[in-house]
Amino acid sequence: MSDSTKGGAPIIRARGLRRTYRQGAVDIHALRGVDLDIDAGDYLVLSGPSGSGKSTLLNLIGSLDRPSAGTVELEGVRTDTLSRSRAALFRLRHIGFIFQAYNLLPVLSALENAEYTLMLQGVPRARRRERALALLERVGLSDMADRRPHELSGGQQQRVAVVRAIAPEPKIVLADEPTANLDSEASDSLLDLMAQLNQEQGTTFVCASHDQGVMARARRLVRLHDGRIVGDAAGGDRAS
Amino acid sequence: MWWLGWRNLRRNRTRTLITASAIACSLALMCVSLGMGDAMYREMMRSAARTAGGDLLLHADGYWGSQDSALLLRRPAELLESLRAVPGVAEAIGRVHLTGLVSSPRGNAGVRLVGTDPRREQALQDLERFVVEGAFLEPGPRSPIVLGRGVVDDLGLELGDRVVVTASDPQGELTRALFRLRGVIETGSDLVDDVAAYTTIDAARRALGLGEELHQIGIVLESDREPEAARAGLRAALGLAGAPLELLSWREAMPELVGFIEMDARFNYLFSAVLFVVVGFGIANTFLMMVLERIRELGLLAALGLTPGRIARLIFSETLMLGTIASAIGLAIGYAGHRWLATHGIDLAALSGAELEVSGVMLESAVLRSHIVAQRWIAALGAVFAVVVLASIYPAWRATRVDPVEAMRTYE
Repeated sequence: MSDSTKGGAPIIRARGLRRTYRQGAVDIHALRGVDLDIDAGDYLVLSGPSGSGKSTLLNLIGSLDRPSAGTVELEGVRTDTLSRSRAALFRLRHIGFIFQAYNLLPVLSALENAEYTLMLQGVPRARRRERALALLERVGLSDMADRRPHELSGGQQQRVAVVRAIAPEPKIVLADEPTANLDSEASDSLLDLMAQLNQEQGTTFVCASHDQGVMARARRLVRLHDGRIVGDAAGGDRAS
Repeated sequence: MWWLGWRNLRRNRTRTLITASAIACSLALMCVSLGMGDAMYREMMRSAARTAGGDLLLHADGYWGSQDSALLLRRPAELLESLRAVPGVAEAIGRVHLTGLVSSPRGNAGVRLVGTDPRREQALQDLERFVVEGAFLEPGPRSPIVLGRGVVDDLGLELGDRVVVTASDPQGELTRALFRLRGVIETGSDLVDDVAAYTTIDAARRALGLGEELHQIGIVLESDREPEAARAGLRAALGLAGAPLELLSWREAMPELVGFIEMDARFNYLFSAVLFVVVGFGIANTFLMMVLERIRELGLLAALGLTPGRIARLIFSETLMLGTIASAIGLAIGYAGHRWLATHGIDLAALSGAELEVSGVMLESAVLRSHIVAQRWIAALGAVFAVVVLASIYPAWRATRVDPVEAMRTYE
């Protein structure tokens, strides 16, 4: 299945993606042949029950994992064949990640976590500080910049993770169950922020989630089941 | 990368402190051990030189190997005078050697009788301190003899008793000479006390029917001079080129003793190496723990775009910072230990209640001190860093192999 809701070359192109894990003597087929195109600026949600292959697909798109078969292209670059080092550099330069469990570095403050990817990119200290502080202010955390992750609530930590993901202005942000550990208020606040960034900066968002709130804001909703795409349609589009 | 490494070190302060202590204490122990070892070897070398009779020994060619009493130094007064004028020479001591039997009414005992000038021997060693009865060759008596405790006991002698020494003269004829026991020495070493015998040069010459000749001139160098380095200068100063004389360093004269001392030193270094290997495994274990408990975090770093090379650098930055700080502390502790030992020392004789003999060498000073040999301390520091780096390799490699997806899924 290959769908694109907009014209022009897609920013992500996946073809014939398969991913099989070996668990003891049993092969687990997490993905069984997925074709997917995603346009720049899209706000796409991968939905489906647990074990449907959403996170696996997201990991393959984000070059965190390699497919057992098939190809992935990001902006025309084959990412499924990159070495570990090249894949890491590619992620650093082109992709922002938001994880389910916030995943902030515990030894760093909110500000240092927020600017961490900018530091890895070699952005000078003053510039990265300025950018990270501006973004923290935007998400309402400027007065908590010096706090360590354990001094922040789950919603606040996830907002810091969002700032870390978007600070280098990546073309694509991949979010894996971003609201799974948040209460509804924090969840709404986070989704509003993501929608805002999508609209204002044209950042492509791809979320894997089975949260109705996330799906309701999708501009495009791709449903997976047993490792296959079983539905692909315009979403609730509250994002727009 | 360094600041993140520093934060990580501070995260688990107890573990960092324990690891740093292990590194620091190992280095400090190694430095103090090296310092004591080197001080002891220096003392042993000095004692060995005293046992040999000087830093350098001048004989007629072939004398030392054959101990042939016919091989004599002719016109020794000129040689002694010239030697004493050479810069770096503290003393030159003329000696006559006589290997023979001492007889008393109770029996015979083999001795190695040394005819010497007791005043000049002082420059090499204080033999008077070993005297337990009588005196050491005081001026006056015509044929005094000082014997080791073992000889005196074997022969049932008392001070003032007369003894006869029988030996071969340079012509190969048996000669007998009468001596009177004026002193008894006891060094604590049976090897010495069972054969030691001293008399004046004149008495020894008379016993062997010699004129002014000598068997040996023991040359004592000023303390900072190496015998092998000084030898060439001495040869030139004395115009020895082509002369039928042998000029041996004490090391050449007593190779077995040198072998013993060097073997002892090697055992000491081997012990240090074993200590470090054991400590190294402990450090490696801690470093590995530092990585394994952060698998999820390392997976996150990899996901965010940290390449395997940068992850390895992060781990190395942590271990090297730890190693550097711990080494600095270890060196400081080691140096403090060295200073204390160098100043106060440990009196081994007081601890053991006896004179100290190591590898067959009687140590004149049984006070254990410390002496820094810069190269060895630098080598110890290098060894610490080598251990730290080696101990980091596997943990760092393990960190580079972290799979981001697996790490973040498994290590919640």
